[in-house]
Amino acid sequence: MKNILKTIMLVLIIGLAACDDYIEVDPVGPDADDYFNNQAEYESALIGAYDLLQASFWNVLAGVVASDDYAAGGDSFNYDQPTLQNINLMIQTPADENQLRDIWNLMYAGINRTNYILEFKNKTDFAGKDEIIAQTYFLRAYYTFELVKFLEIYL
Amino acid sequence: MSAIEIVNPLAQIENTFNTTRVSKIAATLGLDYTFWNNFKFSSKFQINHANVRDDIFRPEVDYGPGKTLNQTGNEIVDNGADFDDYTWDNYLTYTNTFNEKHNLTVLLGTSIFRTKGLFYGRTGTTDTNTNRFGDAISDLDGTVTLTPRFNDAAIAVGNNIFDDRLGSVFGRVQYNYNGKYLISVALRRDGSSKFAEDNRYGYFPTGSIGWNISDEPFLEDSSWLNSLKLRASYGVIGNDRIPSFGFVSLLTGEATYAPGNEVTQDDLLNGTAIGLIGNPSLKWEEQVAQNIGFDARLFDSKVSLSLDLFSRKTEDLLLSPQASGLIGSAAPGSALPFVNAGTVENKGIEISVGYNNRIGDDFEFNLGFNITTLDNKVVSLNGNIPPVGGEFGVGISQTGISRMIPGQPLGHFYGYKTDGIYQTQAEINALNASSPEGTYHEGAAPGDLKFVDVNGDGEITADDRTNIGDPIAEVTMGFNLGFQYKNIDFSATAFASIGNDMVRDYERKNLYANRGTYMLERWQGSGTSNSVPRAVGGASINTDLFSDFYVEDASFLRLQNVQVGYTFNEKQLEGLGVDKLRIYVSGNNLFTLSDYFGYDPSASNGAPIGSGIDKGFYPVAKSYLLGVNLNF
Repeated sequence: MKNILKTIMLVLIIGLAACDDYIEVDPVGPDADDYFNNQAEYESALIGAYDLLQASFWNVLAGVVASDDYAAGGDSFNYDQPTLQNINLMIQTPADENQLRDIWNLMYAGINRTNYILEFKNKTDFAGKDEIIAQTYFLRAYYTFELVKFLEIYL
Repeated sequence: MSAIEIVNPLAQIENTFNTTRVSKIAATLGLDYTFWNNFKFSSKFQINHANVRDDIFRPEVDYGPGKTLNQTGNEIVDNGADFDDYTWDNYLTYTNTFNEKHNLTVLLGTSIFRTKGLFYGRTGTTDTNTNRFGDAISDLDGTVTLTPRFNDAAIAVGNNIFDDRLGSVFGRVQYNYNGKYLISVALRRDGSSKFAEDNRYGYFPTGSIGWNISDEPFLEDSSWLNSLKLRASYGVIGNDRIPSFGFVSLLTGEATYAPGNEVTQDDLLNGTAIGLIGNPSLKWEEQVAQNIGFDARLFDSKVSLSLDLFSRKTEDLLLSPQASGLIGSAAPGSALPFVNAGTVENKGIEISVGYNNRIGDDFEFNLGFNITTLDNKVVSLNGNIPPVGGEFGVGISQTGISRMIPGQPLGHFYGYKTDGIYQTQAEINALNASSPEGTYHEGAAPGDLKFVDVNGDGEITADDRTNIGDPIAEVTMGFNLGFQYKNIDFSATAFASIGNDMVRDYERKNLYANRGTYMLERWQGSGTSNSVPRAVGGASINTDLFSDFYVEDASFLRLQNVQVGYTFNEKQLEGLGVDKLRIYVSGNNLFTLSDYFGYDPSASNGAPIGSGIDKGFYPVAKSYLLGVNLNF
């Protein structure tokens, strides 16, 4: 009887105390504030910053049809890329913001990734870091330039 | 040159081979121990396991030049997932009666809950025709290129797993005096792994009082009132239904750069980037529920009646609103943060009435009806900017068509109000003449929808958008009917929802794509229609702007279930070794009455902001069951 009571009390007390520890779950992998501890992590984040260059094909598409060099083509009656056609004719409205909205979103995502590296640029020193930081500054400038080409932004 | 994503749906079905297998196992282990007469200790351990396997075969198919659904080479996908959850409850109950009239129950306990999952899989592609449906990936060794579902970089940041935990400590005191006056008070402290340490715990009190008036001397002998109970309650419950680790920014974003000279997967450069953007101040959403009502049984308990007045206030509502691209969340693998958006209130009345009786010896029946009214309103926002969500348009989409604005229903549709169709150019010219800029509505032509100048500035601009409906039903009703005649039993249930609006958003704007038959009634010249605009290709205010032309009343009445059964007499079963045998026929979702044009007026994605937008939901299936109940 006494042993069972002791067990019950123990289970309850452990339950109460263990509860708080039990719900402490650590995520797999580092959190964003605990990164940039070595060269490899700087390089890895730099690949992340380069990634958005691959999204700039939108800029090329929207850019060429906005110019006099190309026509958007297609059949406007049949809704073949109507938003590109509207950019072609310079009659885009807030409703057909597809490509321009994507350019805005993706280029700012690129800027965000470069800023993430620059926020921690002084955290860890290693040989060759200047080059990584310089590439980061270039990418940020490039993404900003892409935005300025299309949109009015605050610089 | 038709739109590249439209293909023949029958061909698509013919070329789709998806098999999902689910295996589940559940177990419960419980222990009750009673001691010192009044004390009881209970421990309960529960485990659920589920394994889900998806086998997908995508054969090489060519739907025509440039179609996005074309498949080059055969592809086999073999994906799987393991889900496990555990619950362990421990509690101590003390029950006692003092002086034969004071009944007391005290409960103290803890509860631990964990849910975890593991996802895995691989995709095999080949440009040869050697594989057929039914081939396993292992049969194709050497002929396929295998790609794991999660690469090493994704596994290193935990994209293939989840693990959420809840820990609660709770206490409850229940007291009643002779079963007549009842009071109950409870408090629980819930901790969730989904919140940062400072906001991890929530304290949720609940309390209720009840009074069995029919036990009082002045009503005890009532001939028509069998039971009457008055009750009132107040309670707070917490909600943590958001993804894991929303309070911290993790490096779960996608950062894969194709250098241009890659041959295999290993040649791609995998980096790191921020995934879901963290909101460190995320905290429990709290629902404060208040309720006052009564339950009664009258006339030999043939009639039952209950009425409730309720108010449910959701404070710090958790959601992920759309936000500016400036936040940088548009990158692949990234997502906008969850926030505690504000306070929403639901108020209403709930009434339920039941009647059961017996006619003769063989016929017994029951009828039931319940009705709930709901008044939903956003009370306040945590911040100044109204959260937006939802998307409208197939192909060309507009975001932010659903909004959370104080004083308005949660997630109401925000767009242009229309008032018929422009019938003549003269009508448009007259409006242009009185407009400050000389153009009343840019792009409008005869046959187009006539938008309402809500703010009265003499022209149609984005500022004229307003509340044009909401997906929340104002009234819901339930009906049930059942009877038993000799060996035959019958039951039926129906449900009605009134006042819920739905956005018709499954139709392409492309004129060569299929449209609803309502297009036959379209405007085809002055005076032909004042409700359906003209057919127009390319840019148009009718199709490009979200207006109430696309918002429909999706009120409906649905016969949810009808069942007819026959139970055999014991005599008929003699010698068969069977105690009870009943056969039945049951039909689910037999019909739905609705004016809604789409497939399913009850479809919703359940998001607080952005629900009720019909992107072509798969409708609820009609099903018939033939069943046998057998007891040995």
